[in-house]
This record gives sequence, structure tokens and C-alpha cells, in this order.
Amino acid sequence: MNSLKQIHEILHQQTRGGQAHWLIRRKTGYLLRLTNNYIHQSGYQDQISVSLRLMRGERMGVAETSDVSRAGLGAVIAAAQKATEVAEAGSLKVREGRKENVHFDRVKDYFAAALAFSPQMASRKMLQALECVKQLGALAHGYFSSYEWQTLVGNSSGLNLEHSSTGTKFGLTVNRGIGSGYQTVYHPDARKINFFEIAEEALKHACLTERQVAIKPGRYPVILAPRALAAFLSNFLEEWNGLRFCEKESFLIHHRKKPIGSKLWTVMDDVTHPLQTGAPFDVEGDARKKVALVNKGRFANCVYDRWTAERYRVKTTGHSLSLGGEEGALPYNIVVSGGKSSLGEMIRNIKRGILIPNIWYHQVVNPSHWTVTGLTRGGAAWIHDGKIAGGLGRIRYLDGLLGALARTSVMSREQFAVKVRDSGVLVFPYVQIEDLRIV
Amino acid sequence: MNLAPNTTETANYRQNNMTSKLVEKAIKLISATGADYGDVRLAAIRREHVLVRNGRFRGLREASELAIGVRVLVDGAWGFAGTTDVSESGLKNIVREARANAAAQNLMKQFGVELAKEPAHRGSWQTPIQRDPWSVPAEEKKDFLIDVDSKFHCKFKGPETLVTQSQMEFFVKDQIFASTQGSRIEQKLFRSTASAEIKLFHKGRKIRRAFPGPTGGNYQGAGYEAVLGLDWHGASTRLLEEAREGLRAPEPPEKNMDLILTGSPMALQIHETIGHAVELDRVYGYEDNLGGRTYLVPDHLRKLQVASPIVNFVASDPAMHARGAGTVKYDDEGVLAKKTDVIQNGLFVGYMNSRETAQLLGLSRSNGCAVAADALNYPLVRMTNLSLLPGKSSLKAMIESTEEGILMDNESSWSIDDERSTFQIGAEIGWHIRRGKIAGMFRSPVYSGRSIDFWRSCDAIAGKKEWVLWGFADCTKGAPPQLSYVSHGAAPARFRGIQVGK
Repeated sequence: MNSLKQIHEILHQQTRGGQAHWLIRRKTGYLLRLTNNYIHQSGYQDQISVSLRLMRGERMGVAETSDVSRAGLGAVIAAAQKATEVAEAGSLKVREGRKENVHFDRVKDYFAAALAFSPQMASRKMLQALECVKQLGALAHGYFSSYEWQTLVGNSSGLNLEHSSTGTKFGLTVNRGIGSGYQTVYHPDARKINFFEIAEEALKHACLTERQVAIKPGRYPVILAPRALAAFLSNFLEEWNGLRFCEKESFLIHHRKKPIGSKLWTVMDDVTHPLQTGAPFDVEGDARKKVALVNKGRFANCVYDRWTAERYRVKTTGHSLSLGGEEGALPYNIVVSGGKSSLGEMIRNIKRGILIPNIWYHQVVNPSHWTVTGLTRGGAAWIHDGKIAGGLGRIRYLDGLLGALARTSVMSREQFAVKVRDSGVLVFPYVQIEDLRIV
Repeated sequence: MNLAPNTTETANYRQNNMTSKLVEKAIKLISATGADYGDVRLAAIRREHVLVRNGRFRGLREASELAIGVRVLVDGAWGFAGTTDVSESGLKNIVREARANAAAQNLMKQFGVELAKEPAHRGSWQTPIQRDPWSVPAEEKKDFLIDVDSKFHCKFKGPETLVTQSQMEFFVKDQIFASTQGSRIEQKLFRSTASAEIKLFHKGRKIRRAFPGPTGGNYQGAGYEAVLGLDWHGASTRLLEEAREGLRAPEPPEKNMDLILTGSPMALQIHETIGHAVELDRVYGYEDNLGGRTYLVPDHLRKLQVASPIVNFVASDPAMHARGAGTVKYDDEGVLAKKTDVIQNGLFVGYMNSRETAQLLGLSRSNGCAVAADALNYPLVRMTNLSLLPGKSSLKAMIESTEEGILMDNESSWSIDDERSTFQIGAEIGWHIRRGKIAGMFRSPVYSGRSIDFWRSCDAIAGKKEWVLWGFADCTKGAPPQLSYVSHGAAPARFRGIQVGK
């Protein structure tokens, strides 16, 4: 297979004299899935894709292929050309593309040595780590994955930006009786994954939640773990898409001067944060700027792509999602500022409440009021007199998201990286919300 | 067999007879690893997406993928690898990686995997289509969608902000499957859809209505004909009127009442609370860390009355679902899809399964429900098609015989627990029924319940005339997440005494 550089050179030759822009991505790695303390699925993937945008005057055509042979690249150029024939004239201007004009902050998320961490090595580590789980008659389910991502953004004017990342995820749900514990970790360097710590923490939580506690529907203080918070805010963060804001679809239009959460909420999109990963530029090759999304509970800024910027006379923040510009932009290096407490202190200060490690099927029920629902997973724990006193099984919440954010009272000082998509991570603390409605 | 139309890379391979050479080479390489079993899938996928937004053409996007995937079973442990590098060196690499994954699994395997028997098949099959979507000029698609989308704007006048989006999506997968047991199967699967949706925003309120279904339309195993023959003109008038009324309508109260679901939310209810629940891999914990388990365990087979006696479900039947979005003749393990009764007169009688899971349950054969999104992913137990058989009632008769209830159309949210035993589902819109008549509209209605109680409360299902095969393209399962096409036949049905409003 041609390397990214070779593909770039071929595209450069084949589009000489024209206006073309391309995004080349390669993802290579493997995943092992566990059930009942054993591996039951294992898979390796090596996939490459080329997205190409071609301009003919003001008419734009976009096409994508996985065939990176000369013939395949010729075919994708032809497909993009064909798309220009039916395209409407637009206002998008393709960047001139001079690499030296662009400054990027370095993101250190590539560890070549991590690539040597083979499936057999991961398997041996998991086998040893799960010994404690087996000894207590518990069952672990989970996954281990290790990938390398390579990205090249180029154009016919000479732009050539490259970024490579490595990343490893290990997550376990340990069940013991009706008790359940969930732990997960993400790190760019596979060698930094502490298999034992994850297994022991998940097991410890499973044991603590073995005693079933029944609670009545009502309002309770809850602590959302970073993974649960990622799910809780998943649809909400799409509102920061600048295209949706400009087209008056985002609810933020009505919240420009109103609080959208308690003053504890300060949210940034910042690829340069020490726990962040991903390319410091977007698919257009624009530098991904540090953007304040929420400042002390108030909406600050959306993120923008080049297409929206051209169309609505705003400035791109380097968060473009696609070469066609239909999808706008999304923040995908989100960092929620932590607080001053530790998780232990947060638990100790709760008289009667709930710790939620993970959330499942979080949905927006009423888009007008941002009423959301979802179920707990991974061992929701009952906190009584400052201690974990048992497990709650799965419980459903149904509440207004904005109200919940307004009732955020504590955030942990510890922050964790949660990987939810190929690019970037969410850096989230533990968050305490007062009076979440459990139904 | 014909090629995936105009897929240049596939064409090159086919013209040079390289596809079958590569597949045969893969089988030789797999056999040389000492594997007890192995299979290979070489698949060319082509997608086209045409989008119009707010009356303006936003573009036609073309995407193609050519990939090869191999699966080996060594000493009872699986190893899979897939790549877009469809060269001999790429092939050698994935066979080596698949073997290495099998070795990793061997270190931590619970038991040796065995496969239910399946005869070697040699044959080909193609989704029956009337008009190849790639033979339709781009201008024709563009003009069609602009016409559909513009109708909303022509008819709209008011203080609300109107956002419209109309789209078409076409998919074709041209796949060769071969196994070390002698199967050689070629399949070409077409999936097509078109949809229109509107969103109205006013004073902080928001409502969405879509046609013909809520999530990308109604995907069908068909060609361009899937786009035609629908009442787009009537839909534009109706959707606008409903959205404007719905925007101002109250939310339903939190109380128990009778519930009538139209076809699309019925299909979702089937999908979430029956379909996923009868995937046999969930029984053995294979989805424990992601999709979850199931409330339907093998002890319940032929014993548990999971629904009322008028409820009957049939799965994996290509003949019954000729235009199904999930319909295949052979699954991605080379198994001939077989009609399977899942629920008979309310009694739970069968699972959807794969060769591995069928063997675990002691079944002699798989019913052909192992499907992978593409050649880069391993096959999982997936719903192909699962349908509720029509009943004897009608939507009109159900409304007329309801004292107090709610009629819901187009699902908008769905939240289901990891055993599929409880759920909460929301709809785009609802109509209040009082004394057998529609008495008003409800905004953002939701209902919830226990799956078994819900299906046991079903007392009326509309007949054949109102039975529609609904297709979806967004069913996600597995890791890495795999999207799959599925189809569910359903007619409107009524459920007694359901919790509405929360």
C-alpha cells in the first residue's frame, strides 16, 4: 500500500493546475473483547481513506475512496469532478496552503514503542490482572484496544500537514453477584496502562455494590463519573456547532446572556491540554484554536469551520468536520475545569445519594426543554452517611439537563481522559449534581 | 454476476479475474496456518448521498471502499483481520495478524469454539431491483429533491424558523465469500432510501417531523424505485400542519392510558425489545461490555408467554422480506438464511443466531444471522429481518374502540436497558384519543414499560393492508461499532394501560 506521503504526491501530480484539497487517514490496530474472564473476539484492522474536494470555479465536488492505487486515486478525482457538474456555485474559497504560514502547538500523543505492544502481550497482562477477579468468583467483561492513527491534510497548492497518534483503551465491567464495577482508562502509550489497577478498582466497586439497596423514585444528589458525564453531555455539546448557531438551530441562540449551568462550569476546547490527543489542525488544515465554550456557567463561544466562516462572515476556529462543510464544526478536545475536592471527599460529604459510573442510552426526550433520560450502568452505588453502602442495579433518570447543570455543586480536582471518537478525548472530572430526578 | 456499477477499483479486479484469484489465495494462506476453519470476504461498497437543505442543493457525495477480511479458527480460538490493502502483500499481512489474534485468544479462551454444520454453498444472489440508482442521472436526483424540499418553503408562512432537509442515500455491496469448507458465494446487495424532514423553532420550542420515517426515511432492499411512488406532495402539507400544531400543543399528562403506535414506532419497538433480545450472542455474554444481555434466556424457550396470543414474529426469511433492508440470501458466514419463528401466538420459540452460537445452544444449524458491516469487521449476530405478522384489526377500528388513549407517530428517542427488559420511547408527535375520536395533539410524547408486560398488553394489530416493511440503517452493535441495515415488517397496533408521559 502506498504511504500517506506517496498518496499525497500522487494526488498532487494528478490535480496539478487545479484546485483540490484532500484528507488522508489511516487507522491500524487491534481490539480484544472479553467476556466471563476470557477473550471471545479479537480483530485487527488496517484501513485507509482518502477524501478529496475539487473546485471548478465556484462549484465543489467531494468524493471518498479506500483505493489508494494510482487508478483508485484517479477514480476518486473523476468522481469529485462528476459531483462538481451538478453542484451549485458556492462561496467557499480553498485555502492557498502554505505550510510555513501556519503555526501549530505540538500535541504529544505518539509513542512508537507502544506499537510493539502485541495482542499476545495484552492477553498475558489481562490474564494476570484478572487473577484477583477469578479468586473472588467474579466475572470480568471488557475490551482492550490499541491503535495508530495517521492524518495528512494536503492541497494542490502545496499544503502538507501530517499528524500521527497512538492510543490504547482498556475497560472492564466486573460483576460479582448483583454487584457491578466499571473502570476504564485511555492513554496514548500502551505501556502506561495499569491492568492490575483497573481490574482491582472494578472488582472493589463490584464488591461494594453487592448488597442491593432499593430506593424510591425521587430527587437525589448524584456524582457522575467522567465516563457517565461524557454520555450525559453527548448530544448537548453538538449545540456548540457554529453552523447550527448561525442557522438558528442551536438552543444557545436563546441563551446568549443567560446562564446554562452553575458557575462551576468552565469548558474549553483545547487540543494542547496535557491530557488531550489529536491533530492540532482540522480537515481544512486550519489551526485548531483554543476556544472557551462556557465561562463560569455562561455560554461563551461556538466552534466554527471554514465553510460556515465564509458563509456567515465569522472566523473559523479550526474545528471543521468534513470537506463538504455540510456538517459544520464540533468541539472534540473538550476540557471541563475541575474543582477542589477529591472523589473521596465528595462521597464523604453526601448524606444520601448516588454514584453513577456509567450511563447507557442517554436520550433527549423533549428537545424544547432539554429533558433527558437514560439508565445507569456499571454499578450505580448508593451512598449513605458518606460511604458506599450498596448497589442500586440499573435506575432511570428523567430530568431537565439545564436544570441539572444549574444544580452542579461540586467538581473533583482529578480529571480523566475519556475516549469517545477517533479524534481527541474528553477531559472530565467527577461532577456532583443536586436533586437529579430518578423515576 | 455484474459488478458494483462503475466501481472502478472493483472493475479492475474483476476484469483481470483478480478477485477470485485473491480469494483463492486467501483460502490457501489460511489453510497453511493450520487453521481448523477459515473464511474470507472481499467486498466492494459504494455509497451515494444527495442532500438538499432549506431548498438549496448541498451536494452529491460518492464514497467507495474495497476491503478484504479473513477469519481463522485455530485450536478453537478466533482471529480476525481486515484491510483496505487489497494486494497480495496486504492479504499476507492480514492472515498473519488474524493468526496472531487467534494466538492471543488462545491464551485466554473459555472453551474451544465449534461451529454448527453448514453445507458448502456455491451460488450468487442479488437484491431484486427495478432501476439501478447509479444509472439515474445526478441532475434527476437533484431536481427531485429540490422539488420535495422547496414545497415546504412554498407552503410556509409564519413567525417560526423553518429548517428543512431532504436527502437520498444509495448503497451497494458487491461481495465474494469463500470458506475452507468449500463455499464460494457472490452477493450484490442494494439499499436505497429518500427522506424529508422539517424542524420548526419558535420562542425556544422545537419540533421535528419527517417522512416517510424518522431516521433517514425507510431503507429498502431496492433500487431507485424506493424513492418513487411515495406521496411527497401530500407529506409536505401534512408535516407542516402537524408541526405547527404540535409546536403549540401541550405535553401529555403522566398517566396510564391505551397506546396505539403507527408503523415506524412499532418497528422500533420490535427492534429494541424483541429483536435485540433474541440475538443469541447476548445469552452467552458476548455483548456484556457493550450491547448487554437479554431478558430472554434459553430456559424460556417454548415456555415463556412473552406476548399476547395475537402476537407472532418471524425472522430471517428472505422470501417474506423481498424488499427488506436487512435481507440477504446468505449471511457473512456463508449460511443460507432460513425462516425462523421467534414468537408464535405469544410464546417465545426461537433466537437469531450464528454458527458458533447455534452450536452453543445445541441447534443443528444456524439460521443465517451473522452479519458484518463490511470486510473490515468480523460478523456478529445481527437482526437481518424480523417482522410482526399482520393481525385482523385496522388503525381506524382501534381508534374507534379506544375510550382514552394516545396515538404516536415517528419515534424520536429510545432508551432501553442492557437486558432489553425495560424501555422508554418518545415520539415526534401524539394525538389524544377520547371516546373513539382524535381529540387533540400532544407534543413530545413518551411512554415506558417492561417489555414482557408491554407485549402481553397488545390487543389489536392492523391487517395486511396497513402492514409496511420498515428499514433502518443505524443499528449499532459490537466493537469497533458496526452499523447494520435491518428491516421490520409491522402494522399499527394497540397496547392497553401503558405508562405515558414518563
